[in-house]
Amino acid sequence: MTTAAAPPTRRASYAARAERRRLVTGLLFISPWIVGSLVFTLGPVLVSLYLSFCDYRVLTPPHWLGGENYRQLLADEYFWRSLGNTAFMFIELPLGIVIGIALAMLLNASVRGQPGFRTLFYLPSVVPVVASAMLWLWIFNPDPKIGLLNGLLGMLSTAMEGLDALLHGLLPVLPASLHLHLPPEIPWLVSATTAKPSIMLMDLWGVGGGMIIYLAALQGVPQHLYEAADIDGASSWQKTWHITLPSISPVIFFMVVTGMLGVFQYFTSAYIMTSGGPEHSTLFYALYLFQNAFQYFKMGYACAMAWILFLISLVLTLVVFRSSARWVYYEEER
Amino acid sequence: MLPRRPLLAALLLLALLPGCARREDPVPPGRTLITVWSGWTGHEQGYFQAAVKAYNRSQNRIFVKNMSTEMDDGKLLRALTAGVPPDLFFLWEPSYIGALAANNAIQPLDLFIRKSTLNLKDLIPGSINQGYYEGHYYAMPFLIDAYGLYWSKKAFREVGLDPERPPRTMSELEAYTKRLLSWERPGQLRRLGFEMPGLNLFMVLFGGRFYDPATKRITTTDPRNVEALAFYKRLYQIQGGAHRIDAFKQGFGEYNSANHQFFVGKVAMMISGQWWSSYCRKYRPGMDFGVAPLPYPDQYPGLLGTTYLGGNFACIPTESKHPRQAWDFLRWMQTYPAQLLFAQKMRGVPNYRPVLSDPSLTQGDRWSRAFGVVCQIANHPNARFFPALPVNLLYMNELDNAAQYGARGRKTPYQALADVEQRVQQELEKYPEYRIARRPGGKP
Repeated sequence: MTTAAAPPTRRASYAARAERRRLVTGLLFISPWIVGSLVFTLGPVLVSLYLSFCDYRVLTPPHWLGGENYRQLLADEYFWRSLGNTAFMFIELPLGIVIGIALAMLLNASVRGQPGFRTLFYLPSVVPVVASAMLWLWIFNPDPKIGLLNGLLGMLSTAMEGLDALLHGLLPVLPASLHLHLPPEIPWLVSATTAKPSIMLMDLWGVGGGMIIYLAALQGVPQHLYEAADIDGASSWQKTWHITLPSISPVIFFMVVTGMLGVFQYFTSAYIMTSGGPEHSTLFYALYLFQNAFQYFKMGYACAMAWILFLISLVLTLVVFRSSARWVYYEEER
Repeated sequence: MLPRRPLLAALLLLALLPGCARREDPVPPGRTLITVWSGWTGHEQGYFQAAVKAYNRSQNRIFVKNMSTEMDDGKLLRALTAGVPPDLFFLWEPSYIGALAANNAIQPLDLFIRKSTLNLKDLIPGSINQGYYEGHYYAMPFLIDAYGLYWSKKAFREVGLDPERPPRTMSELEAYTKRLLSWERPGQLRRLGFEMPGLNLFMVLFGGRFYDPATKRITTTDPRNVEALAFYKRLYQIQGGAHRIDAFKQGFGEYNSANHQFFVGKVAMMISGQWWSSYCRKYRPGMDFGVAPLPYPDQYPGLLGTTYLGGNFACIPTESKHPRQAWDFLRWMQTYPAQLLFAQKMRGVPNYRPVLSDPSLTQGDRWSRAFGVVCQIANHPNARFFPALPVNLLYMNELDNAAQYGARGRKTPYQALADVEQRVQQELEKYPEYRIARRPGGKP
């Protein structure tokens, strides 16, 4: 600051005072945020650390247990199960990114009706999670007369059988054991093996939220790079790989980090659609944490769970941050 | 400062208006105001409000103000935690009673009961005892829920069963279920013979115990419970298996509507509470249905008349500012006129026994007679309930899990129940009052 570095003349000290006054004014203006985050965010966070070492049943004052909650967690079958279920959902992260970018690229191409397509793909992400969960409960309904997916699947499966018969009729050389086959119905949320993939499918329907961010990033990619590449005779694949992706890598990085934290906090759709079942297959970490905190009166235990989750996500975020030097490119570095 | 933006000021004023428009009932001078939180909403809120009004008219010392919350005890728990509870509240979920009592959030009512003229023998044992925890009464019922077997006479006729004769024993239930089951095509159900209720209900029907007060231990692996789960699984199997049934159930319409599976013929028999006759009257007045006591296992004829009771219970928080006045209202609820007034509207089963056979409730049209049948079921000495324990919510959730693993054949009935017992027992022992008790000969 130039004024502060100036010799202490009367003018300068006046300026310094004005500066201080401005500082006070500024602080006052942001004080709601400072007080809010200290009192209502940092405070509870620190208290939760203390509570994680306590037996706290909410209705009675906490009492100190030491590391007992953490010891019990390590021996708790559901803790590991919920952690595993949550880890499984990480499959969704790369899927969402790839599909999101692919969609964004397609919608970035100038075709007729482009705004319409954009709207169409973005629309599902406007639907609140609760509403889309209710909607998908119907789509996933195993009864082919009710459930959209199984209705389609039933038709496809019949068509497939016909095609199979046709092929075998036309080409008798085909071995009898070789068949085209589609299951006529999938139990979706009812079976422990398909419940998690079903939820993933539902989430990918809402990929438009990420897509719109990629789309914005794509439009920020400097055109001159493409022009230069064209002059050098680069193929469109080379352009994608060497220009587009590196240029939007900061956005991908952002989406990876926020998406990761989102997976860790996975809760709403499981709470609404399956409440952790069937056979604990959708008992996600946050759902089990919620049950302990708000149903079983085990707030201390839930706090310990929250802190373990915090540490895991901290470590993973740091890993991603560290790795980012290798794959994220910022404009000024180039 | 004068409002420089008249439009904004006008909008602000408008925003304030609804607050002014809603006037509260004035508290008559000289009366103590007590607030009650209750979960009844919609027209049921009106029924409870009518009872509150009748109480307010019946005396001139206390004025009760009812605040309808919602069918969720979450807000109440937060108010209790924050130390600002109402004077009296109704729990939507009786499973909370044990936890609230064990953590001193609600007061024992024994002294009030002893000083009053209330004779506990006048109350259905399974009603007041749902609030009995570690030697004290903590909660009072105001009507209870009781379960009966409902069947569709049309479905019975269709398969050539006597429509007036419901299954009485478990083997009959099994045979009827098989007979009433019908398929759209192989693998696709059209109608369930019997809609499966919760496992806890079946455990009660087999005479199983959830908890042993003598040893203070969870007894999920009681042989009767294992038998119950084995039979429960069989009823699933004979109807196409748990996967098929769970898939079929996803196509059921809304519970509280004319699209309920029982009304649209997707279910021939089911177990439901006394409210079902009101639902029938409301949604399918033309439907020919019957209600009967629940079936009992053939090998245990002593269990004839067994049913499961639930209900909404009122508790006085430890930090209630007017516990005596709150008790006065609770006491009033256990009187003939109060129970009759509320039961006539609410169609809950009166827990005050003399009212059970009041002709205005149980006679008249067929829905009232059906309601009367359930009232008699509730009054049977074999009517049971889930005992109040501090870990009930966990226990219930774990039983649901056991039902899932057991019915799908992923665990043997014994193993499924043993897993529940181990988990719930471990949590129970975190409460000092349960720590001392050890199974004789068990490890220290």
